Amino acid sequence: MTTLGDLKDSVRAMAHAADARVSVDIQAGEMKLNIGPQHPATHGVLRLVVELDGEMVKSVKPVIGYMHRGYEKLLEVRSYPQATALINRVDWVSGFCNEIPFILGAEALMGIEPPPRATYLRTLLCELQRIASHLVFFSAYPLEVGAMTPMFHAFRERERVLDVLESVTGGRFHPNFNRVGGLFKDIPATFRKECSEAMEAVRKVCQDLEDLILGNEIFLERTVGIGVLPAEVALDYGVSGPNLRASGVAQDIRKISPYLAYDQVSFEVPIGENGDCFDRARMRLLETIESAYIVDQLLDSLPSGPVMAKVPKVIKIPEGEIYSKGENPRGEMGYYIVSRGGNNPYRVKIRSASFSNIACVEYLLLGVFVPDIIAILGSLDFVLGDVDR
Amino acid sequence: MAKISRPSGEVMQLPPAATELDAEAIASRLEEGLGDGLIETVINHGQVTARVIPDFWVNAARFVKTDEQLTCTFFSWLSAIHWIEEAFPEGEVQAREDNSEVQSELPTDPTESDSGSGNTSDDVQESDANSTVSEFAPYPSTHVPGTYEQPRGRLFQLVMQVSAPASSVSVLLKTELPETDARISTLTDVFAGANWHERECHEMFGIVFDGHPDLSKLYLPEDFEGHPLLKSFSLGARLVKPWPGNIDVEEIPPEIEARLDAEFATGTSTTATADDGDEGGDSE
Repeated sequence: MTTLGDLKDSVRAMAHAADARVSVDIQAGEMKLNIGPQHPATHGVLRLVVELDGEMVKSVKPVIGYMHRGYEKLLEVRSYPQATALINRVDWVSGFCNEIPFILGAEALMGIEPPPRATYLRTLLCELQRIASHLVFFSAYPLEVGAMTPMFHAFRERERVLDVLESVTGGRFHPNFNRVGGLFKDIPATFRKECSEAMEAVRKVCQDLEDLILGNEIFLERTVGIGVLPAEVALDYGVSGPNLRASGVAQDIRKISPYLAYDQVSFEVPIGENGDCFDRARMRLLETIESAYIVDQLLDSLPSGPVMAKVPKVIKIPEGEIYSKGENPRGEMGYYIVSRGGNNPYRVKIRSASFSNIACVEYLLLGVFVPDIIAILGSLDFVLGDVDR
Repeated sequence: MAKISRPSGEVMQLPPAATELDAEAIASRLEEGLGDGLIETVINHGQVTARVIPDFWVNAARFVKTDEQLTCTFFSWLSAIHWIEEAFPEGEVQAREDNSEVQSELPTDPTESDSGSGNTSDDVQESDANSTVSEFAPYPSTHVPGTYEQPRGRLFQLVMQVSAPASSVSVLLKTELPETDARISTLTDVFAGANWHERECHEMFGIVFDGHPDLSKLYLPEDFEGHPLLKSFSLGARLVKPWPGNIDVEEIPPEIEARLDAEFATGTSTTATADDGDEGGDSE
């Protein structure tokens, strides 16, 4: 009679034989694999042309541009108030954060100081947007490496944060709420209550996500030590945001050159150690918790007063050039605005985080196995609108 | 901060931390290190801009990257600006004539208007015909060293931004290239990230980067003709129907203007619903 032990032994023997066969008999030829542009793991329309040697990636060529909308050209024929409607859509997961550097740059060129209440509210809404954006990551990424449950938790609370944003700005995705000189209008009376309740929910869901994902054995197997991005390489490619911080570089524009009211609140910038997929995911969870603390502090210290400075009826920006940058959920988002006077910019260069973040896949994907392509791509948390502009 | 520990793994080597420099210190360090390659340094809104001669472009990038004081190893972006006489694209100028004092300051060149107005027969630019040809020099330099001859007329300005990791030290590098035969050495040997930015710059402006590994199109289809970010490249939508352009600069009715002025003067706004009233109720 065959015992369980015998069965296990025979299975092992078969596995061993199979291993031997793989290494001896099968000649894995070279193969070109086309991933995307329509592939769920590419978050939109990224295309990868991968050359495989067996299961191993030999070379990779990312093809972008399927989402190119020519915003830099379009901005040259838009007035400054019209521009926010476009730049909202550069990175559609964090529309409000996109507006900030552009508006701050325009204000600096005009010499307008927004009222303190507007500055605080901008900071607050930025952080709400950051939380919403990171929660999208925590629904998409576990899904890509094989866990479905976190999506329901993360999306539920993200919807709640978006409701708060909507109650203020009127838009879930594209707030279009900033004006040169301040904000379109003040927050509604119910905002404080809804916002602090939402932050409680966010803290709870962060705990849930930590329990569900970051301790999960399968998730660890898929992410720890996978896609290690050394700090020097990350800097060379211009990788920024949580992806860079996961590699151990404490670069957060909110800290190193504070804008808005970030010098008025206390928060920590989480720094990774290994720069692998796990660290990149961990950074985002820690940042979400920090953002919730920032929101709480800002709610307590919100100054009173108007939300709009006195600005000319027609926004005309004197001649000048400025590079204005801010910390988007995905990294450094900046606008190089060149004005030659008049109502619209002469040239706007949009420095988007995802563009540089995705450029480094040429390095990251070399020598990895096919399933890891998905794990690495997902961990970079790019938005194709942000890549292509 | 919440404690989320990570499983075992190697701790990676970090690049050395940059010394914090203020804008003046960065500018003087650049003047020291770039020497004859430098045209000038400008501090603008706290941002240091260094203009270098094109032949020195790669060396300048290498200097700001490897210099032990600047340590600008973070490659942020690279792009270009196309400087032409008109401050606004064609079709835009006409609509703004009443409202903008600025557009008429720079003289226009009638010989250069073949690309835009030739296609837009209904968009007659009377101001073009009356203007005189003049030397267009958007970036005159005060002290040009050596034998370097500054390009005159329409030109491209190549702009690159780098910064030191985890530090507020950052530098904008600029160089000017003539509009015809715009060509410069590639930065891909210095910064790997320059690869895609230069490809973008090539397809958008037509600037050639010598030594670049692959200058194929990044965004546009392979058979796309033209360079979209050139000022002579008109937006298709505007050719079909010119943008009226004065919607935003419409006169505000006097009674509304008076009300707005009163609101700004008193610092109140009728549209805002300040939450100061319910502050006491919320805090408990």
